[in-house]
Amino acid sequence: MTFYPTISVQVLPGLQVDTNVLGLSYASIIAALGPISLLINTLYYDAATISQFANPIDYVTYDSNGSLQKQAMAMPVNANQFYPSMYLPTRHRDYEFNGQNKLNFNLLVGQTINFIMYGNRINIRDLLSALGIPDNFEVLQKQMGIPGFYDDYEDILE
Amino acid sequence: MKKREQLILTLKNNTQGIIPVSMLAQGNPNDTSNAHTRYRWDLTLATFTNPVLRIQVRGVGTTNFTTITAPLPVNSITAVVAALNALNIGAFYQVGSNIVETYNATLEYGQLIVGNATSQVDWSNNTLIAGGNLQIRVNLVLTVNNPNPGITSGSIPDLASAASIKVDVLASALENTDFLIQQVLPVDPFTTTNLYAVTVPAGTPDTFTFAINTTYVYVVTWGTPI
Repeated sequence: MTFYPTISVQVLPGLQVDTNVLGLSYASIIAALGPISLLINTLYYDAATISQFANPIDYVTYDSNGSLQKQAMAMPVNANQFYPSMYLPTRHRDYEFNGQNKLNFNLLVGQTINFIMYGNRINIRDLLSALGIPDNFEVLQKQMGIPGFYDDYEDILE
Repeated sequence: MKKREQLILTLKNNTQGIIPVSMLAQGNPNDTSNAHTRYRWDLTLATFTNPVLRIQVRGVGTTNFTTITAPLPVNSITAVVAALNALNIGAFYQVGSNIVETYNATLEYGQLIVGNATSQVDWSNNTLIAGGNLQIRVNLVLTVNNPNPGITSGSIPDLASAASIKVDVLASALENTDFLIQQVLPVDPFTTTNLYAVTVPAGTPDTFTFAINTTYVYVVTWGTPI
């Protein structure tokens, strides 16, 4: 059988995502990912109910073959826990959000949840030094004999 | 150079269904965050005669729908939702027993076909649909299989046995909106041809008549704009 959609524009979005920074939208954050990456090493998560809190959260990444890999984030719920919140250090396993990785989970009816993510923001070029590739800014500064000449420019890049 | 960051995200489910959330990735078709346009299919009358479903989808701003087919291993609304979510064209969820919903800001959805596409004339969607204070679409979608060979003539109420489509545009609200008739070969994958596209002129009522052929499905749509 063929069914046709009823289409309407709602006042509120079905899935409402807000940030804590005035003027910074979730879409802006997503658009910025790629040139920068967020390495989350501590996560605070709270929900309105234990049933929402107990829902698994999958951290989905791509492996070196380009295949999707899925792992459940380490969020065990204490059997005696009555308040649905958790402060979770990731313990040597940062969750990286580089524009490709994502979090998948189910959001129950009427639920409001909060994520507070603590971590570091890195530029792609930060990886150059980690890979042993010279930082051209450092090379230029040495040749000019002016240490720190590009420091302010680095901030602009970020 | 590393900088210490703190990112706070608050998520709220404003629907009556369990939303499959997929977040913090770019270009993710399953991320429906902050989309206001809701698509709702009422599958109350669904009969699962064929273990397959098809859904029409297109990008916002494009004209032609693409029809995507998915297997339907289990005959249930829950299975329909699961099959839709496996297509990576959005995040669908179930409301109540028979409603399938989704929100999307980058994709638009059309027909959802569960099982076989049967001969059907459906006028129920010939309504003005408004949400809030914003009118977004005046939508008539009409699908019919013409079982008879050859070309005859007929009007809309006789479509199931006729070979032409006659559309009477009566509502003044449809003036200056786009009108599209598509000819669809109902094989997998669908082959869709735009048979006629015109902007409805001012001064309704107006009438369009189109000849149609057997074995094809015809989809008539008008809206603002298609």
